[in-house]
Amino acid sequence: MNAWIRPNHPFIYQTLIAVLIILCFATLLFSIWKKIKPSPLVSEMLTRTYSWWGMSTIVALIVLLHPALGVTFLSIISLSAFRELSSMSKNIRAADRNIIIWCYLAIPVQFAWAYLQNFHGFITFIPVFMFIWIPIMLVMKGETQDIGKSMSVLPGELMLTVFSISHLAYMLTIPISPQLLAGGSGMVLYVLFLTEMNDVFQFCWGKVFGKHKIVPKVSPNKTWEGLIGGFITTSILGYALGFLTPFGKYMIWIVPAILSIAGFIGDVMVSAIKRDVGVKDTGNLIPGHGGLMDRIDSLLLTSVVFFHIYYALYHG
Amino acid sequence: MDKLRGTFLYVIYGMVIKFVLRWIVGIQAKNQPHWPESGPFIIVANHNSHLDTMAIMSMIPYGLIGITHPVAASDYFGKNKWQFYFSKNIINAILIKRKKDDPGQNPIELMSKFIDKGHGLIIFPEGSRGEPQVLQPFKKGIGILLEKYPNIPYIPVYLHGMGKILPKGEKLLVPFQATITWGNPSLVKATSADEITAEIEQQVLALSV
Repeated sequence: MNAWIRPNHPFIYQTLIAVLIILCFATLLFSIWKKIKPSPLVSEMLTRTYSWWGMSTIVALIVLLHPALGVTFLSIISLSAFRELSSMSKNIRAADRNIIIWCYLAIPVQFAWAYLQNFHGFITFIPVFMFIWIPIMLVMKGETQDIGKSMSVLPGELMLTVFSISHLAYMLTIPISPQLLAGGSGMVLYVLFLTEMNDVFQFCWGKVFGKHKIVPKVSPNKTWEGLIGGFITTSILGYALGFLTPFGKYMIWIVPAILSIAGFIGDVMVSAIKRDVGVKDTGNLIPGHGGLMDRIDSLLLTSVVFFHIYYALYHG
Repeated sequence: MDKLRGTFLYVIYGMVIKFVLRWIVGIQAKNQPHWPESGPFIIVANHNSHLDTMAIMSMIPYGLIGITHPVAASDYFGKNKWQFYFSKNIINAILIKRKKDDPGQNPIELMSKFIDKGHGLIIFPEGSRGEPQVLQPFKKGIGILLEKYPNIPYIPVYLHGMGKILPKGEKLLVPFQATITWGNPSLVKATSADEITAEIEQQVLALSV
């Protein structure tokens, strides 16, 4: 076997083939729909589907290639997410530019902890060390006007974008074991696939049956019907894909259900930030979807929640 | 020799710098222009940061980068021997004097020489980088040049957010979202130098929305 491609369990290939089939089906469906009855909505769905092809390719590369490459990919995704968030944040002062660079320097360190499977370094570096380092650097700079905002916003954004995504990197490097047949990459695939499908399910259920808004002031498109529909569908899908995870017969129902809720919370959290700043999208990196943060918003919480359930049950 | 130079510059700008600017620094391009097959042409852009030149150079196609020269101030970029060498060979720049009394050739004549050779120029008519996100009035040089060569296409470029990444007077580069917007090559409609300057300023500004 080539050193750069990891020996993967057949489960992973089966899941990736399932993704491929879904993408082919969606592309075909929207293409034909567009031919028969063109409308802006269908055109947008088609653009989004093309973007899904690109994103799925990146996910496949992360899962299939050597973990070092996957971790590097994830660190660049983290960096882009942090950049999007810090660029639009209105709570960061112009004087903070010399401090923001510490946040960027923290990214490779955090992903190195993850890659080296050093759990203590990984779990304390940002929430403890950076939460001290950034404020002390701000204090040393001496610009006290609005310093409280910068002290909390900078580490907070680091937490939201870098700490969360680095959980995927840590998972990616977990080796195959008797209870974890598909290895860490299987779990990464599970979280990514389930989170994104949960977004799609909630969107579809909401579009068809949506009536009762949950947080109309933050995200008017989020309805109880969408949330509950997504919750049930995601739970079933999560159960069906259970072979990628080590979870037993009860947890395999509970975990996807938790992921569904966590995904929703991440989504509305980023929506609230966007609303505060007054933008619709965080950028225009992904055609049809908006910025990177628009796409990975739900992943920011699901990756962390999933990882800690796994870690508590199997590493404690 | 020109081909070798073009390849060298393309590897630096079109590959290495392009990758860093795109994925680490976060500069996104909006609508690529329909590049002319060959020179001469003039790229006109607003100016807030040293990154402006880098961002423009990183997007020039392989066949044109060897013959494209940013026009820079000799009092700044030719301060000493090393900087002079660097500006000439790595930035591929043409160094012009900014003030009338400075020694050296008349800037318009110098630029005309390169246009006559069929080369492209990158001109920042604001003259200096100025305050971030503020467009200063364009200097008349671009008008005089295009009055002399009305048949040469100019390509307007609007850069947004570069002053946040690397402002004037700062050494530290901090990644932020920024955009580079390309307009299409067009010919000037006005005839006098002042009107041409105003027309180009308007075209660059029109890209900001």
